[in-house]
Amino acid sequence: METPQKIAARYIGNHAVLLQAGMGPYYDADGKRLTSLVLSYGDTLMMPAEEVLGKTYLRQGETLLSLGIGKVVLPENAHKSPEELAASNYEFHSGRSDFEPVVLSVLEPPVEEPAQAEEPPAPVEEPTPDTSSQPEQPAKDASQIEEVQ
Amino acid sequence: MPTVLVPIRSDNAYWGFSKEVVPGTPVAPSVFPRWQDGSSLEYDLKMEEIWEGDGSRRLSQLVKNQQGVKIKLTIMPRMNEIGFFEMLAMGASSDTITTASPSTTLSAGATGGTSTSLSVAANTGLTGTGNIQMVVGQGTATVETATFTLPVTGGGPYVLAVAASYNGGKIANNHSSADTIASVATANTAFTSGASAGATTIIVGNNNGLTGSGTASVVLSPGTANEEIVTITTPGTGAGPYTYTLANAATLKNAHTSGDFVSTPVIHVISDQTDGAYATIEVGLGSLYGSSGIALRVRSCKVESIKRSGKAGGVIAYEMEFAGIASTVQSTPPTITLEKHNIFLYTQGTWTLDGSTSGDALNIEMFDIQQKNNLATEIQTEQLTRAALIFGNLAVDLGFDVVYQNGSRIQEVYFGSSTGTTDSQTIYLGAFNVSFLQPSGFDQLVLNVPTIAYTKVGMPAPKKDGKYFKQSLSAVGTSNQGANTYVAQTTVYNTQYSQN
Repeated sequence: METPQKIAARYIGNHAVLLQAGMGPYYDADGKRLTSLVLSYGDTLMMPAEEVLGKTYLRQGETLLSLGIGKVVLPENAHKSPEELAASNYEFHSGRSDFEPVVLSVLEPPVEEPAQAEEPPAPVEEPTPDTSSQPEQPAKDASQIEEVQ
Repeated sequence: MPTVLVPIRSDNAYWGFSKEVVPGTPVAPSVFPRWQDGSSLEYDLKMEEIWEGDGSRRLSQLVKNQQGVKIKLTIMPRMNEIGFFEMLAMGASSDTITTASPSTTLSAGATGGTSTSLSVAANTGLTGTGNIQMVVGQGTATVETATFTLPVTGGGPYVLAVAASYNGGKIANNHSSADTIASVATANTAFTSGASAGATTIIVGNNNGLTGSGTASVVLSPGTANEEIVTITTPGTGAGPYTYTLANAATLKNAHTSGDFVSTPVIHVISDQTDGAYATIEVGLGSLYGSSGIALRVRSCKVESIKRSGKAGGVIAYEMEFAGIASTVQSTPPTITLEKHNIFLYTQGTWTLDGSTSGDALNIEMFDIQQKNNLATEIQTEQLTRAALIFGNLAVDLGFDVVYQNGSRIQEVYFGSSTGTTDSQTIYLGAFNVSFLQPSGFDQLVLNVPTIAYTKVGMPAPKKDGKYFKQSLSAVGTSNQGANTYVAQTTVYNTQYSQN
């Protein structure tokens, strides 16, 4: 399994949930390490970008080509309708319904709390821009991939 | 030099589920039930041997005609998981929330993403303070559960403001004039003052559903880490805000913040439908904790069968089989989130058998209700994978063992009535209903098959050990010649404030 690109997300599920033990460490949107595995409505969490924003695949024969995070199409297919894209072997995966991306502008730089520095802090990845809500920013390689609104 | 293998633990696995909003578009899973042994994923292949007249007796080649996925899941479900899986099993739009007062209609349409308030016809029950959650447009395609701020304003029609905490303060979907708007639960209010752990009272903004004399089981701060279920004494005191005292001299375990919700359970009534919603299922087999196994995301899955079962002293379990259309390998592990509620126990059950809470209703040792949707899995066009899955005929089969008390069951099923004495063609009809209520008085599961036709009574088998006779009963659920609008129905009381 690859190490995923992570972004800040906010939990918006109906009920509090438990994060699976052993899969952490978990960090909130401010880069603080979570001290509880309980995730409540409104809590933030750094999590794989594709889980929050979805991802796009292009099926080429028996190979599945990942086009990246969010809903993306190649420039030569940008004019196609959703039905035509599906017929062209695009496979769009939606993000989780119980998380939403945190708007990047409200984030502070990641900070590790000194009081929790007993364990070596795990690397905190920089939050990635919400590419679904900021279409002017390229999702991957702007020369090859164009986002669909 | 000898090397040491790195085996992968067999409990390194996960099952994740989500409902597909657009059929065929996979959705990252958000429901991760804790699985039991018996859960599995298998590929379902149709193969064709190609024998050709090449003068030999050798198989020439093999062709793969179709590829799909079969998934099995065995769980001990929590109250919100039950709502999700029952919805998948019963079919699309099977989940109806039992709304409560206050209930009125829209006096004007509303625009999703724009309207910051709704115009409502009546203000009864909407004159308190604080927030309230209401179902707007039940029965329409744009139904939503939104949060509003009380009181309404105006002189009629009245203005009901969307709470700032909901969807940026705007209603999410379009709604038409005359659409219904009603409370999502009998008691449905919010703290208007914070409460500390150890407190004996709570102060809330309205008293809807909490005016009678008695007690009510309510959830405080649902969705938060401080969620707890308490029993309060009703009615409260005050003219608004209202103060309620915890029953039995209990105290709050957790602190609660002003604005947090307080409500009785949301009641989801889920009945069998003509076809099912698609789900995405992701299964990881040795892919957690950095292990090098595989994770597979299967899109467009439907429930082939579901079995709800329990036995004396045990846990209520669900066994489900799914069929899926197509799969892809996942490259990154998901964020696994687990429901933070309790499982249901057999001892929490109250049984009604053939309309009676006595007789064999008190003698049941185990039960199972198996529902088969008989998916049509042969729909295939130009692709290797299936083009669609649809529900076939519904079959609901019941089995339950009772401690043998007398011969009346035998007479009912084979001789036409409890007093019959000779062979009879009459089918003995009954009904099956069991309600599991957790000690909190909040989480509840009701399994109901309103018309069952008995097909077999296992005859008591004599044994020399001299212990006790038991009878195995079998029955099928019917529509009672179309008189019932459903064959099987599940009602779950939980904290899922929107439809599954």
